[in-house]
Amino acid sequence: MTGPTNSAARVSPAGKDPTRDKIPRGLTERVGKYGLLIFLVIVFAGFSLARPSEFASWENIRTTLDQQTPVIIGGLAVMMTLLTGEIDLSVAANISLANIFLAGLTTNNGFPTPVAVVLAVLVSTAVGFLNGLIVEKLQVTSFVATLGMATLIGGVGLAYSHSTDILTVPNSVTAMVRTSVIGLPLSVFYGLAAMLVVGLVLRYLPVGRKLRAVGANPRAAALTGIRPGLYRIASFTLGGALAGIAGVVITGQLGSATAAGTADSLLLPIFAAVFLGSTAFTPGRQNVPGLFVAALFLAFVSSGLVLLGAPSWASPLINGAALILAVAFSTWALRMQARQFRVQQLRQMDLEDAMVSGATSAGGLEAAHQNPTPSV
Amino acid sequence: MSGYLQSDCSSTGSPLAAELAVDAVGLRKVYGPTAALAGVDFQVRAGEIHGLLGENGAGKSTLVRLLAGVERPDGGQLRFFGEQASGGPSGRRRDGLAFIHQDLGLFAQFSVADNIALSSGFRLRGKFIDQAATITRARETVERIGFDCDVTKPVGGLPLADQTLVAVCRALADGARLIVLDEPTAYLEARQVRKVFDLLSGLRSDGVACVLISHRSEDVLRVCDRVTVLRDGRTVARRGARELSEVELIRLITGRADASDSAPRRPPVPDGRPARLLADALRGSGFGPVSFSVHEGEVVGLCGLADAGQFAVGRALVGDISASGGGLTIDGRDLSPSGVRDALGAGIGFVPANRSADGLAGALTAAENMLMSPPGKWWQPLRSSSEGEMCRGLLLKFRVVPPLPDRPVSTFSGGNQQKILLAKWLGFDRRLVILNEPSAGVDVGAKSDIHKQIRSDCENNGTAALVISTDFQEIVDLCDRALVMRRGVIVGELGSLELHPDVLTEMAYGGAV
Repeated sequence: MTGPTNSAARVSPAGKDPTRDKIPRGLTERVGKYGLLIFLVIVFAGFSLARPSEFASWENIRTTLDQQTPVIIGGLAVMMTLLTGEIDLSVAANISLANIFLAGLTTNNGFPTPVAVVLAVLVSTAVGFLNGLIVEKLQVTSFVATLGMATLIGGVGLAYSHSTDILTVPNSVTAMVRTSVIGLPLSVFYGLAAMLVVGLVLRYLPVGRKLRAVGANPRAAALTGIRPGLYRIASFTLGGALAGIAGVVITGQLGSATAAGTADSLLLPIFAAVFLGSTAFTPGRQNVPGLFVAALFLAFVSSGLVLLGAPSWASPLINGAALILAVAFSTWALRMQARQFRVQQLRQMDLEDAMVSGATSAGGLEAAHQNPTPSV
Repeated sequence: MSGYLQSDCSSTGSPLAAELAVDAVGLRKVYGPTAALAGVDFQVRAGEIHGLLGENGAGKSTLVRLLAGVERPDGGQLRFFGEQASGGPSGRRRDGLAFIHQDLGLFAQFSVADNIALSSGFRLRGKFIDQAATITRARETVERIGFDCDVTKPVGGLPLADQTLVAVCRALADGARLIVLDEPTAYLEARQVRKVFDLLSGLRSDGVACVLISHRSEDVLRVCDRVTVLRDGRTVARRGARELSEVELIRLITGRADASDSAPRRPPVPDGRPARLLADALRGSGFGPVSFSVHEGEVVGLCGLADAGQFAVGRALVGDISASGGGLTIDGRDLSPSGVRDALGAGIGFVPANRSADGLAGALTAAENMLMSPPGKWWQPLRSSSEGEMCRGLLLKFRVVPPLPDRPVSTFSGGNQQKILLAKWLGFDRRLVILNEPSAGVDVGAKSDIHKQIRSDCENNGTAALVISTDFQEIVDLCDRALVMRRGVIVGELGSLELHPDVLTEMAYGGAV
């Protein structure tokens, strides 16, 4: 996967750093980086031991990967906006919108599948662009703008479908997603491709850093020649396009569309995966490998508990708790990291002091001795 | 060590302890395996103004955290007004301690009276707030220190110095007998600094003690009765302010002979160097018309009081605000920036005055900050290894400790952050750098590093620098030539041989020169 490679590339310059090598890295730092990956392995191993036949099967992995693809692609969409310091609460509704449009265009309007796919993605992209314009030009906070947009496009979906569910889509739509290649449905490959593209762009192209800069300090970014407004609109638009792709995938997977919003319930799992993912590999930062691991982790925990006989309300409980705990944990990890750095810095200063010639320290002592007692 | 401290403590004796607002002996505080405080003695008498000085990382902020009860000492004695310290921050407040940080913690939209009442309690009539009585009480507090201020005005509309004084009043209304002010004057210009200090001096007669933490040694010497100097977590000196000269004080703070006060008189920059920047009757909101030039390799100061318009000139040069008239040329080519990108493209670098608000993204690493907008085309991938090497080289050159480019900027100390901000522009071959308050709020050592770096860049690479500041001493220390602004226009120019802070001050205030 891109995960380990990506993070290894990130820390490699530090690894060469002699000053850093002298200082053993703290446990908290490592737990922060690889904790989630370790948890994923533990959870998978644990459920596999408990239910070897059902859980530890290729079938289970395949199904989980397939089912998590819309969450992962939706997570990428959310990540784009979070990078610039904005939030997109309309992502799930936007996936639903692409879903109803693709199903409707192919089933009711008789569009050829490729054309319908392009149109559905364009509709979602336009919604994202509109979100960006509202946030940037009308100066509505993204929380409010996208919350309103979510409900608004829900209404658009209902209007377009005349409040009628579409129960069967043409085979060409499902084949595009369900066809199995080397044992995995095509949907999984779409997800991997989206992660690869977004991950590589964010990691290796200047645009990734600029997006982060806009999110971290828009004023500093602007004084460096980056136009924060442009990047915000672009991130909303790209987020919309990704939501559209997720909508296409989900249409193929389900082979149907609900007028009331098929994917609306994905909002929380998506946000849980994104925030939990930001605690891994590069703690405190949104990152693609983290999102992938987090989505799988949450899915395995939910499906494992269901296999053990947990009631169906376990899944929302876990997603909700994961969202809150992930954010709490990442702020804690950042505090710990800052503290760690401070200690290292003080230690570094001690090292330097020790290296400074004895004359200086003798002078310092002398100065201290001049006033050893309070001059009261 | 501890035995010695014990005896020291008992020799201080209980009879004297009563007149001490703070009596700290042998304070130690350890983070992990590191001692942030390795035996600090700190005594403040009731009714005195006491300066606490030291470089960044010397232990001042740790000491303040211990005083404030935010953290507990790992060793040593801490007494307030003769009582053994106990409890946390709220307990300290009840004991009459108040802490005023750089971020004053005021509610900008609320009136002065409401701000004071929010902490010390509103006057009630029955169950409801008695607005008139609340205002009267606030007025009494304000008048107590002779502070002339309309208490019904929102705090956000007051000058920064007055806001600081409102915070002092709030502490007094709260019954504070010891007020600790952390860098109260870092962003104030001379006139406002004087106002704050004058009013603080008035507190002496009330028996209220003040601890003043500041990097401005001349301010400290002017207002304080006594000073304590920390270095590397130890008290290295406790002296009366009168017996100290500024040079001595700086030597105590840095532990080395420092040249920042006795800056060598520079020979004037030779004539005939090509002009890098020419501003001709430049006008904009808040300034103008101004005409001036900056030559290749020259450091020019543009100074004045905080509201003289010099900062607006800088923002107009970089295209952050638009100029309404006049002309600009850089290296002989016309420049009319319609935005920051144009100006940066023409080779200008801009270091804003407020590093945390406008300059650095704290969550990003040092390397990401320095290369926030990486050079090269958008499709060219970033190379983390070569970036890391380059940034590490810059951090070493600018003496950032530790020189780790992959560390978040927020984890560096203030002085190091400022160096990173400067390295972001000075390290990348700019034609002209505009430096707003290049050493605001950094310690003496870092300040001298920063000055050296700016000078060497200009002398060796031919970079032109425009230093925009309200700190006249800094202008004298750093610049070849200074332009003084008042009310939006340039009122005078001083060459290298005439530069003197007093002359600059006089010109800035509009005195005849």
